[in-house]
Amino acid sequence: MLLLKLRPMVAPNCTFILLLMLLLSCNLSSDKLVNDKQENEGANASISLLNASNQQLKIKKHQVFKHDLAEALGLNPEHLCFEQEEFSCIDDVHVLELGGVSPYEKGIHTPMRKFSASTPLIVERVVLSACSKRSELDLADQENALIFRQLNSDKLGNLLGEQSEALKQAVNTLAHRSLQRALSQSELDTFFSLYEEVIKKSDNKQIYTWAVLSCYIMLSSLEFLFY
Amino acid sequence: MLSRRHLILKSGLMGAGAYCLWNRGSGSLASLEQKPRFLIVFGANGGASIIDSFMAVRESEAGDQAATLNTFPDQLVENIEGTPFRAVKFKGKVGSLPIQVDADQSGFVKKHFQDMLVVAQERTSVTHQVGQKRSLTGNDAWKGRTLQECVALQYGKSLCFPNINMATGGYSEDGIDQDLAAYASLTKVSSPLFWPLGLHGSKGIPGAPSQDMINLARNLRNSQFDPSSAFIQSFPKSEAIKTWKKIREHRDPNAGVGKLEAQNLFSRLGFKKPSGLGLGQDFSRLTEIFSNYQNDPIEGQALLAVKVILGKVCSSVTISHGGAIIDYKPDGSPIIINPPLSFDYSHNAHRATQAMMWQRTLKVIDKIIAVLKSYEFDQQTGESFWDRSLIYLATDFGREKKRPKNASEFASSHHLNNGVLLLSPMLKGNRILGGIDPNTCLTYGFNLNSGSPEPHRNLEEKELFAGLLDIMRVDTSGSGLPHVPVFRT
Repeated sequence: MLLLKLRPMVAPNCTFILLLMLLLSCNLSSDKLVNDKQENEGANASISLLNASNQQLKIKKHQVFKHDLAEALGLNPEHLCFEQEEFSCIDDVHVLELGGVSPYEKGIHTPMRKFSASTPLIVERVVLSACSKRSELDLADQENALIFRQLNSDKLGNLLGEQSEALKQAVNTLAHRSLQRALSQSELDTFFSLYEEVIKKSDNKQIYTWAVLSCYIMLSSLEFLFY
Repeated sequence: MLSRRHLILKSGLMGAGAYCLWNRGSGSLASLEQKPRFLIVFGANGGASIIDSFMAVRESEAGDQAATLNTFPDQLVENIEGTPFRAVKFKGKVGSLPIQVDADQSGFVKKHFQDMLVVAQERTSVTHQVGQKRSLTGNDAWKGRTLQECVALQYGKSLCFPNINMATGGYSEDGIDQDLAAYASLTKVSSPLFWPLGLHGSKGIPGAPSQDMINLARNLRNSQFDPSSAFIQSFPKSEAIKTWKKIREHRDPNAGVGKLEAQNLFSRLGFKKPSGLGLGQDFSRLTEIFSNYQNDPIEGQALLAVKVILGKVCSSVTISHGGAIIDYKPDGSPIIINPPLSFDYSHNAHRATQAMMWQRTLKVIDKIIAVLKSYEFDQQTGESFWDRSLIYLATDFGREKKRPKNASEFASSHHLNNGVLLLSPMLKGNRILGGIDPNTCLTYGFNLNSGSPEPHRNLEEKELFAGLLDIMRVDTSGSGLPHVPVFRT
């Protein structure tokens, strides 16, 4: 079977997708199937992967990144991240580093040809800021929480036992909103490991810290950033 | 009073060992020197006219054509004693703009003549963007690389951001050499005041967990979550992913994002005080010098430029004038700091615009030099940062040489003929290479080896390009560039 990821938030191009499906259905052959070990793992148990014939991935630039991040976290795209609590990280302060242009203010009409050494850090700043906002909102109002629901800090120590379902549901909700898929068992294990480490090493606000960092891992992941 | 550094310089001992390493054969230099040199490209956006500054012509010198050429009343042009340079004085209003200019270039020349080299030149385009870019590439003289890329290739491999660019338009463009090493590519800076904030992944972000926790999450993401993604597994040969991972996943504090965070550039280069964090290096002193850095973009750019040089973060930094800048007095009335289009407002009011923009430009250059002179680069040799720096005042093109008869203010169009200003202790200063015909106000070239004026020759863009790289001691082996030693000998 073929895992075909439709990613409607990223430049949906129906013609391209249909063409891709046609090509893949025609060319699928056993020698192109890789990563068989995935077949025995979690949600992807029966999925084998095609080594894509076109290896040209692109990073989401500026507006696409902003839009997808806001959609994933249910936040206003204009309020994701501010430097000095005032200046938009994405549209103002770091616009060029995030692949944008500045035709009016700086006369720069074309984006940078290569990644800046600081672009991964800037992406992390923006994601961290947005994740902090979502986590704060959800944990402050659990009844109306969008992603991090039923995370009871009173039962902190038992979370992996009693409330592991809540934890799993939170990261799967985020995965559906950001990656448009469920997480495999090995991926879920990443977030359980994170939780154990947070409990072990963090003195307070463990649930908040786990929520922010889970979100940070997923939304600064390669899969979220590239298409 | 001579400082220790000056004594060493005067005694000719500076860098003697390093100098011996240079291979002067066939006009190129071996890439043996490891100590960085610093190139500052200052884009004089819109056409900084050399005949409105150091090569100005008096009316009395231009004969019958004086009334219709861009010549000045004699009393407005001063010859600076002991130098070949002239300086223009101007008082007046900039066209219809509410700006009163009171400009005098003589102070700058008297202060910096020993490091000044004016080079007469003929350009190949009167289109802004094209002219700007060609001022950086010598009209694609060497694989389409920019000067900044060449310098970054030579000196920048171990630096965090070898080629920082804060400029606009053609001054902010990449070269076209597809084989250029990635580290030499330019880093565009959106905002000089806030750029340092992007040099750390979490500092200053409200609600961010501790750095230990973030490092833990990074590690889980890089070592577990990303590798298990079916999507990413489908693209094992993606160059974009490889590059991203190379930058992102370096655990080595001397490489990738780890290098940026380990060097604490966020705090060292920062301008504003993020809550709970320290101020940048010598923040108060530098902001006293570039006192209008928050309101005047060229001061903000210059401030970051000196910081990244002093911090040895880059080997090449580019700044430029931009569009109109309006500030407001305490009573709310506007002040125009920079005219629309910078030097190109000469289309409306040539003489006042040139005077105002030259004044602004020289003032910023003076500050940059002052800062770089005051910091020691190398204790052993006594060199200051200025001793290893070159300022190249790049410009789009020249301006029209004619004016309506006897007009004291007039509009000017673009012109190929012009000259550029270079400043550095690394060049042989206090010279004008080439000359000017007072009967046409057109500049002419010089012999590339001897420097003697040649009225029927013009300096080509690639020759200027080669000469600049020679000043910077960039290895040009195999480039096919002409040998232009005259800028520094």
